[in-house]
Amino acid sequence: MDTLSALVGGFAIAFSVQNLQYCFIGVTLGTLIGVLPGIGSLAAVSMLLPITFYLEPTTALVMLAGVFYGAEYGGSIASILLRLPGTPSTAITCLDGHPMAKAGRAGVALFVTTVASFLGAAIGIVILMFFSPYLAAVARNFTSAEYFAIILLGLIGASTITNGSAFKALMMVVVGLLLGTVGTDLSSGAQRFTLGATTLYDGFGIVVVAMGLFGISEIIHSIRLSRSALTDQRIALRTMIPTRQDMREFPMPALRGAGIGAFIGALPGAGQTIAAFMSYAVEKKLSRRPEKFGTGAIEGITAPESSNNAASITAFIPTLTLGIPGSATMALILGALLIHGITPGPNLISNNPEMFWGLVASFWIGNIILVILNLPLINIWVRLIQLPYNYLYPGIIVLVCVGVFAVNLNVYDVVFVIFFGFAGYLLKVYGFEPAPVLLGFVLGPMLEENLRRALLVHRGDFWAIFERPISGTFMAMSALLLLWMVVSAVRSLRRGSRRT
Amino acid sequence: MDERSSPLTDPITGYGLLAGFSVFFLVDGRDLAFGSVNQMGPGFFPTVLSALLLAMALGGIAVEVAARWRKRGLAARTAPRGEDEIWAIQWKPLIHVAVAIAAFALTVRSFGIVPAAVLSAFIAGLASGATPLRHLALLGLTIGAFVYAVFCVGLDLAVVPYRWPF
Amino acid sequence: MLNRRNFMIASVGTAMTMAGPVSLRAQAWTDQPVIFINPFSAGSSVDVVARLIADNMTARLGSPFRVQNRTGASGAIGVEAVKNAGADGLTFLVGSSGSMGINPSRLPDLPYDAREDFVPLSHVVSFPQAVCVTPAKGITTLEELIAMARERPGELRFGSSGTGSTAHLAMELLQARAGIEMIHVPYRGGSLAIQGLIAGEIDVATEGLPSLPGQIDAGEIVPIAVTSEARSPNYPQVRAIAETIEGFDTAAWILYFAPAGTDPAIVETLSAELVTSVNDAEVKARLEEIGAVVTGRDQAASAAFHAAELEKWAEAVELATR
Repeated sequence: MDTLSALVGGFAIAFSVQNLQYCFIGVTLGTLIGVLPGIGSLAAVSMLLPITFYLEPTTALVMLAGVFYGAEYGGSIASILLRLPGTPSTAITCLDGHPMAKAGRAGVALFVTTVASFLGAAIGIVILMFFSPYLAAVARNFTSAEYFAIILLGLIGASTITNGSAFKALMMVVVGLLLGTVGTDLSSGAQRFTLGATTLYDGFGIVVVAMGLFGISEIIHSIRLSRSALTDQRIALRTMIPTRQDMREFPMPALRGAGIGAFIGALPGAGQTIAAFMSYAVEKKLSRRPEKFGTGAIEGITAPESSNNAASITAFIPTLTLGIPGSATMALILGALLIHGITPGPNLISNNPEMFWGLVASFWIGNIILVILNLPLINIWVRLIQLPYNYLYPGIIVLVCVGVFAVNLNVYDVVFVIFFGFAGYLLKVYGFEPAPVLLGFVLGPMLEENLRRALLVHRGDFWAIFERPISGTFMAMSALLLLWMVVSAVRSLRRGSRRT
Repeated sequence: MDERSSPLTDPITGYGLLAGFSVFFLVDGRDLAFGSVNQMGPGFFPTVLSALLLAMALGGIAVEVAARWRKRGLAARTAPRGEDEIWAIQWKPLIHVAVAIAAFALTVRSFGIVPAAVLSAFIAGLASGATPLRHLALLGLTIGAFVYAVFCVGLDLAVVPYRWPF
Repeated sequence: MLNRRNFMIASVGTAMTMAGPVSLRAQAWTDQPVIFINPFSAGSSVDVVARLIADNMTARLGSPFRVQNRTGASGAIGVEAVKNAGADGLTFLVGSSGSMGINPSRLPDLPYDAREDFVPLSHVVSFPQAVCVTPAKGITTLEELIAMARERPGELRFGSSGTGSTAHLAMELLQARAGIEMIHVPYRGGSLAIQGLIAGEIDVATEGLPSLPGQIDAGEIVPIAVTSEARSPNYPQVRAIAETIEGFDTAAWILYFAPAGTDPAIVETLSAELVTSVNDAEVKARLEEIGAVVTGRDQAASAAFHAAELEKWAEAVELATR
């Protein structure tokens, strides 16, 4: 009851004209930069940060947060329509969203992801409201051993997300892990695989890898469609409405996605991309017909979208209640508070209740604005892909170039896009799905540094990771998953040899 | 034309390329300290991973060869394909897209972002061979205007819209 | 509506009550904007300082001063951009202890020479860092920590925001000066090191003071010393390491640089303007609020300071890689 009365107070703050106005600006801008490939919430938040010096801290926080979660809504649009992830966390949405668009169901896909996004965010907010202290207490005690175990589980799970053989997917994970080692080694400071190029000191940018592997490789493949549009069905508004079967397949995956996302999001350093990939893998594992994943399964878009939105809300838990920002964007948002003399930490909610509850209330308002903003736009978006493809793709290429360039104003980033586009295209030619590469690339550096740190702390005793309760559980789950994969591989081999 | 008959699109070539990728990491990483289990060096993780990838790639080749040895066409079993069937490599779009992006990278610093966008869109547009040149020019200008409106005016990015370098 | 410039002017107009008269000295610059290149991302403490100064100079001098973030390659991309901009009198560098103090001795094949390619303008601020432990350790002073480390040589673990970071090298210097030996555990960023400290994975963590008050006030961590030569005005009760080990100073700093060959008159003027800006009452109050210590050194003092820093960090890097 206490929470609810605090929330009412929060709404009073969030409904002030100024806060409403900046909430609207934040989520609108977030959607825009989410749709545009390349520049994501990190770039947008850093662009807006100087403005917040002159705003009330609550207003500043409301706007920056709006950009952050608004980007998750926008990101899925480009993924579905163009197989071009607007933000890395929506890369997985390409796998089933784009086939749906090709089958003339772009409207349904956009509608469903908007609803799933809202549902995920709503569950995230409820968890933020009621369970912040508990989640913070769990995240607080996570050491390198726990991080290593959970990342390992995520990677093994990732090899199940594609339709081809798990063997090929595992190879792609390893390729991603290797790409992630390029740059300065965190632990020793050594330069790895930079070939003496200064520009590679920080490794490849995730935006560069995502744009090249997904966006550019897809364009090279699709150009031969030449004159025809991506989809030539005449799509009326009513095709936005999901079929009864869609409705049946919607709630559970969205709920599971939100749960996974809310948990992963609350861990500092994990983030929305991992949340989205993990819930996709879980849905595929649970599904009775895993073979329809990758061909336009509705669970394949609802689960990750609900997950990354839930994660984008719960990411505020460690930032605000522990003072530990989980990502670069969160560090910037924390920076905005520091400038105003507010230091997030375990006392933030008791010291600045009006700010915390005002922010929570603005989450509700912002997400409702996002739904209102997104639904009418679906029709316009759908029209976009009815353009003949030969008029569409040059624009996409330019958007990728500008977006990638704008992140660091670095010309080499644009050159690397060619490399990754070429690599992604070749991978497709040989029947390798590039999605696990991206996950390996994101998780690789975290896997390595947490393993090295855990071994350093436990003096080289690898079994210590199994002995800790939380990390031990995750390790056991990884082992079971691996065992299951081996068993089913052997079974399918046997079935195959019987057929011959 | 049977797309699978080309040696360029043979699955073995695919595994071979990945083997080459892992060999690069093995060779370039040979000078990185391996370290101990207690204190892993920077070379530990990449060396183990590239060795693993190399083994997997060689394994893939072995399965592929063995399958062919036993029965022609059996390769499809070890590499089940749905959506991701092997395509012929489309050289024309590949080169055009690469040149279009390279043109952007080469001109964006000296001429500014709008001219770079127009040039890049024009070159990219040539790839499909289906768009009349007049339309391409118009398309390029439209995209240039869009980039100016969204990135230079709307988002006020710290980029130079256009300039004459000489 | 989303135009940042108009937006800024509107908000600055209301916030900045003080817009000084156009200085005659501003004639050194035309209406072409002067760019301060910051090699690190917006929102970091370095960036906040650079923007506060640029806003103040714009308001005081009447010609536009901007901050541009050119990130990547541990700052090398941005530093190189200033070097390549040449002595046009319009492009300057927001240098920090990482890019212009540590990296020259740490990174091979840097595309710039911190001594030859740049002229120091002014050392504007320093950022003290705090050496922290958890309350469970039961210690509150540096002496107790040193005693504990002597008792158990090579057993205590200290966390930092990464190998070669100011926090890491400061601890290397401390170990050498105090004759103790601890294990270095690097993290991806200082706040994750603090989490490692709270979770009990490490015994000591060093991190910039600005981001710590939340955890300190809540009693999650205890600061036992600051790395700057003097105590921090925000935590006067926490002693400086220099009070135990004489002359110890490993605070992070911000020093503005001009590309070598810049007109000495411009160097002189800009250096003076930077000092004026950081001493402006409102700017100074804001800087101190975020935990910075305003130094505002003139050109000659800054050059001497930079030379000494390069030597100090070279020694620390030597110690770390030994």
